[in-house]
Order: sequence, then structure tokens, then C-alpha cells
Amino acid sequence: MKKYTSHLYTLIFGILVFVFFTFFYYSHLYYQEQLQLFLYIDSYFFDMVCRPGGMSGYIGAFFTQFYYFPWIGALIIALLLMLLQELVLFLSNSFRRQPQWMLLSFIPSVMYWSFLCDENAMLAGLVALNLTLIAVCIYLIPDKLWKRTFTLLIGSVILYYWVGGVYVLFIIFGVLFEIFRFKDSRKRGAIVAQIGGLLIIIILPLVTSTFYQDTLPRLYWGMNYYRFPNTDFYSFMYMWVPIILVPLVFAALPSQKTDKHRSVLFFCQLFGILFLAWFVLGQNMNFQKEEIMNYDFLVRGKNWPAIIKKAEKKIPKAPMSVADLNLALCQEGQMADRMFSFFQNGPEGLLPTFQRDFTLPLVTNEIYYYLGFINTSQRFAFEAMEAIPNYEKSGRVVKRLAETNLINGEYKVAEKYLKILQKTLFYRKFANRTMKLLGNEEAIDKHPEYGWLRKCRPEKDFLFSPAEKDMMLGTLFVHNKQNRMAFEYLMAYYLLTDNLKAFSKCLKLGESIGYKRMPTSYRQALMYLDSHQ
Amino acid sequence: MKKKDLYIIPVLMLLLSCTPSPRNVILKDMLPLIYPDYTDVAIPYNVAPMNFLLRNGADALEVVIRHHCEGSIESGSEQDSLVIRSRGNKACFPLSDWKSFLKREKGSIVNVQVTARVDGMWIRYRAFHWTIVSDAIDPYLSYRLIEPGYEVWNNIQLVQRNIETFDESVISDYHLVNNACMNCHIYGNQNPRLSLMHIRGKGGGTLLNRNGQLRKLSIKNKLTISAGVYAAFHPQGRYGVFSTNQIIPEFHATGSKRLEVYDAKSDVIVADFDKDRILISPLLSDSTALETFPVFSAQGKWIYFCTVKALKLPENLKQLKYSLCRIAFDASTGQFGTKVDTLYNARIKGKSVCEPKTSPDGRWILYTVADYGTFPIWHRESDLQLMDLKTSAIDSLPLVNSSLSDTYHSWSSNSRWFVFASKRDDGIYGKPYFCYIDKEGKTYKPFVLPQKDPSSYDQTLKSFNIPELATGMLPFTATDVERWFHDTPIENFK
Repeated sequence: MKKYTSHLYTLIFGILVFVFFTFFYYSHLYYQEQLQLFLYIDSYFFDMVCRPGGMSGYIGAFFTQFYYFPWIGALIIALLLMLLQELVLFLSNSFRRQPQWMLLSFIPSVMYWSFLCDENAMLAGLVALNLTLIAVCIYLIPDKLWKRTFTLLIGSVILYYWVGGVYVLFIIFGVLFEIFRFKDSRKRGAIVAQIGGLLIIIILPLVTSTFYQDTLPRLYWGMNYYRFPNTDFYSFMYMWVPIILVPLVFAALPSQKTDKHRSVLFFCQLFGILFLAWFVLGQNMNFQKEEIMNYDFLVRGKNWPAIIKKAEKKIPKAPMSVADLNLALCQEGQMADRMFSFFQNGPEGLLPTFQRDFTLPLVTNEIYYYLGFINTSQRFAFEAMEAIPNYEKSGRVVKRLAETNLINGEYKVAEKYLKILQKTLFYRKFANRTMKLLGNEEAIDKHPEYGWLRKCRPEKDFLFSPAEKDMMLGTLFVHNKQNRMAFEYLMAYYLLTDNLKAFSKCLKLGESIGYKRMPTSYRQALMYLDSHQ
Repeated sequence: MKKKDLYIIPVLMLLLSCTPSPRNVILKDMLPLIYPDYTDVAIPYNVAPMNFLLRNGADALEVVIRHHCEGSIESGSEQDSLVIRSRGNKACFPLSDWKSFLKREKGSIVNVQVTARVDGMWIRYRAFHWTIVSDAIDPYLSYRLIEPGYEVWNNIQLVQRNIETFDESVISDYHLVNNACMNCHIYGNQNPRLSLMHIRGKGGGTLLNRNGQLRKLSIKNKLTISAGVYAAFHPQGRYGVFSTNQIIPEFHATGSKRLEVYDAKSDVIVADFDKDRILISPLLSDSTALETFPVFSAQGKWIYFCTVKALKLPENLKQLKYSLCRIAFDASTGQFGTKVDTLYNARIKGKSVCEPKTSPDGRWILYTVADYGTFPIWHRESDLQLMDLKTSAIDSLPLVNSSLSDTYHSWSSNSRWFVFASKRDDGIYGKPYFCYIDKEGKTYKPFVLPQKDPSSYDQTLKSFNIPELATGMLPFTATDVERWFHDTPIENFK
């Protein structure tokens, strides 16, 4: 039983990670999934693996696609963190077997867990770490020094192209094992390996820069570990340094002989790890973002009642969440009655202004889409994808672009996007289904969503004017007087901009909607207007 | 044979089974559904293999290319043919076999016979022709790879591609220049040792390449509207002619239209690269008119440009129709002429002229016409037109143009080929098409730049922007541009 105790701790740790990401942080995973497009085609594979660190990037992206179902994503993260801990423990024991210090081997995994709470931390970094440590394990297999030297020199080159900058750990471990375990550090072969390893660390990225275009910091540190290409690379040290320190601690610390000492040691480590987890997770967890992402997650799934229910429990204040809530209220036919039961942040909570980032335009594209501003929805979606910092494509956006082009009757472009989606795992079904609609005007017109949105699109072309959103909403509604959303957004816009004169003037336009009674917020606005006239 | 060599048998069997041959062939009197559409095109003898794929669900195919003899489809001997058989739906020709075949067939017409296995049945389609032209095309093509977006750009690259092979190298990379936007890369006389491009933002400027020496120029002064935008070289290389523009982007709310870009102001200037000075003519910087898309004539005696009277915009956008005009220029003195000739009057013809370019032999001027405006790349009706500068006759190039945007072009140094950007596939993603023009000015059906993997156009989300032909490889790399961006001091123009 004792033999399996450490694995039991690993399992408990894994369960904690799984529960955390499945129940408390799942929107982060769903958010990450939409910022990549994993394709099952040769060119995607070769494009990825031809970059330094590309193999870990490819494997990371492969796993990230499963974030589409956050519980699978949580399971993958838990397994990778468990593997990391097991590898660190194995390597630490390879220095010197010290079972009583085993809990220290959880430190790197805890550190990486907290790093993964950042929505821009890429899974490729964790994959790269695991691959590097597996390579170190392989390094330990040969008993002959020349074989290990050969493994170190060749392995480090291969590893650099597979995992990127984290390969330095492989070389560092190689040197450390020669010093602490094999005691061969003064032999010629070991010195060759050590000098060779150090030279490889310095030279390899420089050599790579001659045929691969990227900046030197990215070539040295790695380019797949964080979404933003020019990040603070030194932050990676928080994950890498403990991986080296823990085995060194195993080598350096004395063994505790008595059971009493062992128990004290165990609880000290346990509380230490728990404190570390509390501290680092507390630093990196962001439940405000989780809430915003959760609203977007629900919008993406068209789960309008859940959005309203969520808002009823805790009124959203973040502009993006307010915009999501207003969209949900409108979709459920409650906007005119209930929008002022919730916090409103002015017209930005209706139609947020375009920003050059990869988050806000994604949310706003949804609102324009359901309104019937198909071109504007397309633009916002396209721009969001363009703004993804690591130049990845987005499954969510490509799907939306296929839809907007289908609605616009641009079948060739829609086909291009659908063909790409056919090469994915989770968008294939949608692509195959939608492919049948291409060119089939009758089927599109009958489609509950696309057919309706076709009817909502403005007929007469005009140039989009962010300063005249009311004019555009008015044009949209005049074109299709059954477009209740356009009308309610127009009215809401006037109410939120205190333009009650325009509100009362346009109110009559809503007759075509067929309200059975005057909606609450409209009635209140009219009463206010009456009392001030 | 020794026992241990027996493993060769299954390997051989496996190899043989990999290349199925047509059996019980059914003849079909229709052209094969190939992509790209390479049927009945004129190709230069120095082009890379014209790999294509079949769109009809084929799982194996045979392509036989033979010398064409009048009145016979099955012409030419088997030995003189180029034959490939493969599994799947892609026809990819080995480079060396392709090269020697084209060299042998230079100046002749060849038949391309496609036989494909569809649903287990071998079908032989009607053969199509390739006219292998003995006029070579310039072997290098540069272009910008960019997503056809709106305002946000990302991961832009300027690339040069060897048209004779599939080799591609990056001239300027987005990563290496602090994510700055980079615009057109153009050549002087299609010479790779004379070229320029703009890289915007802090650290940027106009990169002038003269014999591999890279200078950083700020082509603006107090009198110009902006730094130089659309540019062209004087044939002697001392001068460059630029437009300076105040550019406004707008977005269409409906239909297939996406983006509208127009100039609130624009002028044309000449930059003297030897003396770092800007030459201005009142006829090219009229505040009541918009002047843009300047280019020198082949001998450098004229500046061709597009112009329109300034209107209130965007209200009158659809009335913004540019005429094609020219003004004399004396390179020895840097003096402009005193009158402007109109070659194409937009008011009479009803179209707007953009991006004129004279052929290196001085015979032709090729330009784009759109219904209105200055951004033909997003105008689906944009077409190329060819004007004979001797007779002023205009050819509307029906065989060249498509129903979607056909625009930005560049001439080959021998004036027998030109490349242009066409969105004919889907209206959004531009690709470089090559067109042959013979001595009499007759044009032939164009073909798209061949790719090693013919499905790559399906998979890419990039547009091939601003294609420019060149006689050789550029003498600098993306790393040189990175160094230029970060270290080279800027030269201000007077």
C-alpha cells in the first residue's frame, strides 16, 4: 500500500484540478478553445512543427481543441499536471531517493496550475515541460558516459525544435545528473557534454534565426507558451526554476530517520503546499473574467434563459456582460419590460464600440448578427480573429464567417470556410450540415435563423457610422417592421442616451410589433416625459 | 534470390498497388473539373509545374501530356509524353521531368489528357491544351500575404516566390518589424537591385533598395499631405513618383461590398533619391482635385496619373470617377510639363481609372476600371483594360477579366507577360494570375500561380496582394529589413 501512497496523492491532486476547471473555471477553457482552429491537414501539421517548439505547440493545440467540452479540457489539464508531478518526483528520486520529501514534487504542478488560470497561458507550455522531463528520463537510461553525452548533444537539438526554449532544462538536468548521480562530471565525456550543452543553449537559437524569421527573445525563450508573442519571458522562470530546485533539494536535504520526524515533515510540507497553492492561485485566478467569459459562453450556446437567470442572481456590471444580458433579454422578449431592472452602462451596453482586440468584437458581432446587420457582424468577427495575438485562426469566427456569407448569398466564400471547418473535429458536423445549404435559396429562406436574418438585412446600402447607431437601427427596422430586436434596440438606445423626444417620436413605429400592452420601461419613460412637460 | 530478400516482393507489390492504371476506360465528352482552372491556357516555358486537382471525387488519376498535332487528339509518342499516375485527386508533376518536357515543347501546343477513377470507374475526359510560349516570364514574383480584412492587420509578410520552382522566401516579416504595417513592394524596371517598400509606424519609413544598399527615407515635407503612398520608379532609377494621400476607410452595411477606401485629399510628387528632395508641380497638387496612382512612362518622359475634381465625400462617393492623364517630365532638369493631357476621360466613359502601368517597351498602358473610387480591390466590377499608346485604342480584355475583382498588375520585363491580382474564385481572396500578351497585343486566358500542393489555395486564408514581377532574387532578406528597421537612421526629404 505504501508503494502506492504517492500515486494516491497525485490522484487527489488531479481530482482537485479537475474539479476546479470543470466546475469553477470552465468558461476560461471554452474561451481558449475559440482562439484556435486545429485542422486535420498536413499543411497545418507541417506549418506548426517547422517552428522551433512546434511539436509541443501542435500537441498543445490538439489538446486545446477538446476545451470545446470543458470537462474534457479539465481532465486533460489534470492529467498533464499529474504527469508533471510524477516526472518531477521520478527525477528527484533519481538524484536521491527521499520519500519523506515527496510532497515537494507538487510545487511545479501547483505553479503551473496557477499559470493556467491566465486565459492566455497556452497548454503547449505544459506539454513542452512534460516532453522535456520525459527526455531527461530517457537520458538516464544509458549506463555508458559516451552514450549519455551523445543523448545530451543530439537530444537537446531535437528537443529544441520539439519544445522550444524549455529544452534548457534538459541540458541543465544532464549536467546536474553527471555531478550528483553519475559522479562523472570530471571525466572527459562529461566535460564535453557540459561545454557542448552550454554552447547549444547559446548557439542553437542563433543558428535558427538564420533560417526561421522570428525575434531572438522568442527563439531563446519559446514562442508557444503564451498567447502574446512579446510577453515577459522571465515569468516562465516561476515554472521552470522549481523543477530544477526540487530535485536539488532532494539531493541536498538529509533523510529523516524517525517516524515522528517524518510525520512532522509531512504536515509541514502539506501545509506549505496548501499555502503555496492558496497564494499562487489567489494571485492568478480571476473570477471577474470567468464571469464575463461565462456570459459569452452562454451567448455562444444561445442559452438566453440561463443568462437572465444568472443576472437575476448577481447583476452584471462589466460592459461586455451587460451587452450579453441585453441581448438575452431581447431574445427572450423581455428587454422592453426588464432592461432597467438590471444595471445599464449607457449605449455601450447595447452596442459596444469597436476596439482592436480579440475579445470585445467577438461579443459585439453576436449582437449585430442577431439584429440583422450581417456585414457589420462579419466585420467584427473578422477583426477579432485578425487581432488574436499569436496569429491563430478561430473556430468560432470561421463558423460565423461561413454563416454571414451564407446569409449574404456569398456561397463560394462560405464554401471555402466550410471546407476548412470540415477539417476540424468539433465544427465538422456543422460544416457538413451547412454545406447542403449552399446555393439552395429555398432551404436558406426556410431556415429558422438564416432565413429570418436574410429578411432583416437592410436592403439599401449605406456606410456604417458608429456615431449614428440610432439612424442605422431605424433604417434596419424600417426595412423589416417585424424586426422586434431592431425596434427594441432603437428604443433602448434612445432611453439610454436620454433622447426621450426621439423615443416618443419613434414609439408609434412599434405598432407593427404587436405588443399586447405597453412595455414597462416605455410606459415609465412616457410617464416621466409627461411629468416634465 | 535469397530467403532474406523475399521482403522485396510485398514492398514491390505495395509500390505497384500505389499507382493504379486506367482500365475499362469510359470516354466522356467534357472537360475535367480541375482546380485551378488550367484548361486551354498559355504558359511560359519556364513556369513551375502546373499542379492541379480534380473536384469530382476522383480517388486515382492519370495525366498524359503530349505534343499536339492538328486533327489528332492522341498525338505524339509515349516517349515524348509526360505521364503521371497517382492515388488521390491531385496531379503533381515532378519538377525535373516537367522542366525538360517544357523545354522540349517550347513554342508548341500540348494536349493534356486526364483520366480519373470516380466511384470505381475510369473516366477519360476531353483533352485540353496548353500553349507553351517561348517568351519567358520574369522568374520572380513578390507579393504581400495578408488577410483580406478591414482595419486590423496581423502577421503580414512580404514574400518573393520563384515562379520556375516553388521556392518562396520572406522579404519582410511582421514579427521582425514590431508588428508594423507594410505596404507594396515595387521594382524599378523589374530589376531586383532597385526596389522600394513602405513600412509604417515608429522605426519605419520608405525602404529604398539600390544594389542591396538599404536606405530609410521619409518622403514627405511641409507641403505634402502625407508620406509617399503609391509609387513608381523612373526608368533611370534616380527619381520615384509618389502619391500622397489622406485615406479614409468606410464600411458597407449590406450586400457583397465590404470596404470602401477613398482619399479626402491627394497629390502627386516626385522624389529625387540622389538629392533627398521633393519636386512638386502645381498641376499635380491642385487642391481642387485629387491626383493619385502615378507612374512614369517606359522612357521616363511622362508621368501618368489618375485625377478627379474633389467632391464632398462620402456623400458623392459614386460620382468619384478618376480620369487617366499624363504630364511631361524632364529627368535631366527635374522639371514638369506645363499642361496635362487626358487619355481616358472618366466623365465621358463613365468609369474610374486606377493603377495605370506602362509596359516596359512603351507600347501599352494597362490599368483598372471600376464604377467609382480608388480602391478597386474591393470593387467586384473592377476590370483590367489595355490601351495602345500609339493609337489610343482600348481593349477591354474579355478573355482576361472575370465577373469579380481583377486589378493590381505588373509587367514582365519583356512586356510579353503581366501578372494581376484576381478575386475570381470567391470574391474575397486575391490570387496572382499570369497573362500572355503577344506582339500584336492579343491576350490569352490567364492562369493562377502554380502551387506545389494544388489544394493550398483552398486552405489558405491569405490574400496575395500587390503581385510584382522581377528578373531575379532580391539582394536582401527579412533579417536585413529587421536591421534596417531598428538601426538605420531616417533621411528626411526637403
